[in-house]
Amino acid sequence: MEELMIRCRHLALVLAAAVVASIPLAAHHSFAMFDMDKDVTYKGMVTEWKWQNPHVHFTVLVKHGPGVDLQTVGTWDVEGGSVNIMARQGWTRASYKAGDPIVLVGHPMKDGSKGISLFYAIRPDGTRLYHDIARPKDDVKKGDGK
Amino acid sequence: MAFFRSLQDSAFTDWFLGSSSIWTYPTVLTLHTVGMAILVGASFVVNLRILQVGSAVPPHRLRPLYRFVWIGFAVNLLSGVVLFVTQAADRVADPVFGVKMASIALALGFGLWVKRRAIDPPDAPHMTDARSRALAAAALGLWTVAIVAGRLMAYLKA
Amino acid sequence: MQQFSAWVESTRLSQALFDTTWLWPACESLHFVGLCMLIGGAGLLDLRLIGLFRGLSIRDVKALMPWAIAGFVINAVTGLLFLIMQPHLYLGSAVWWSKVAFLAVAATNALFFESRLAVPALALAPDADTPRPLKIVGAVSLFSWFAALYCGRMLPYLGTGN
Repeated sequence: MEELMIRCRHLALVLAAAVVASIPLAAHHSFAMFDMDKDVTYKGMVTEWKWQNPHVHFTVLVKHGPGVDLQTVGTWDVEGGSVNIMARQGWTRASYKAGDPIVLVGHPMKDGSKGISLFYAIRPDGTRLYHDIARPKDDVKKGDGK
Repeated sequence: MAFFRSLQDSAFTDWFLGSSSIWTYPTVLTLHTVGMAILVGASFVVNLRILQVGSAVPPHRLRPLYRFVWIGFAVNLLSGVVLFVTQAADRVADPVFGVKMASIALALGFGLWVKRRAIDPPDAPHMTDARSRALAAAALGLWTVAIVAGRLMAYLKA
Repeated sequence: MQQFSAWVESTRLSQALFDTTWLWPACESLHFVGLCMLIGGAGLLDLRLIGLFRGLSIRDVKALMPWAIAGFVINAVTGLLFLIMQPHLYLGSAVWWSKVAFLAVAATNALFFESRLAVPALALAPDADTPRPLKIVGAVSLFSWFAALYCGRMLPYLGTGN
């Protein structure tokens, strides 16, 4: 019976180790990996649209072309905030869907992998859909963010 | 697997995760945290006593604390099932989720074992026996693992 | 507030902490563990003050308080780290300030109990019902801790602004 106790304690330690070992895996889309100081503009097409809590996600395909910034080319995983927070900024489930063109400004991953933390999208009429209440520090134009 | 996929891709999931009302996902998630506080909080107190903290307390007098263990567990089972349904296919394939479930099952099992040994008897001794203390220590570790696993699941989701 | 947050986030300390990838998730886990310790330990005392668990003397239940305080300290430290790493998520948020207010009420309530009501409370017999002031202290405490929990957990959904 005492042996069972010792085994159980070992099991608990093994489980703990398993969880700790999974931390590097978990780091992939952690917030800390985005370069929050960089604002990059991406012009492409929405290929996947997930309007769901806890984070709105969509995939954007940026193709090669004249005038296209090379660093923005590729398929990007864009992460937004919660449905509740984005809805407050004017986003809806119908804001975009797969196949729609999109222009967005966001913060890319520091390690170069194709992830973006959404800052705002720019609608065809020029108004902005912000992800949350944060606004550009040097933004002189007023009244753009609904 | 197809069953779990159908749950995750269901109309319920789409509505529940896409709703901008705070009464859907945010409330269920917060209830899950409240349930955790009650469940793990009560378990924490019982296990501490078994480990001889507050040794003047007669162990038997802590029996009513298990009411809160069950209340917390019930709240988290219900909220957990709702959350699970909306991510069923992803979770079923997720080892971290497996670790969380196993830790909870073991922690509860050890808690019941400790209850029977050292809390239920009306004449339960103040000085708890070595086996109960080992179980209590293991349960504390397992609750910690469950909490950490629960948090890490959020990071593997993307 | 936005300027202060921007300044904090530009400091080397803030950036070094936030760039340590595992730190934020680790703080989150510790914050949850801490709240369980706090609500477990303080919760039992509060329930006894309200008049439940008669048969347990208040003096005996208070033996658990160092562990509840340890939980509070863990959460104060991890909370401070969150604040240093990403102040813009909190400083402009009415929900976060509500959480701070509830924490202040809980802490003040606890200090009030310790300084004014603890001596007669400790003298109560284990089986005794508690007088009304103690019931109020216990109820305010429980309510405040859970209200703080609610505000904290709902923050990403209720909003980081007003």
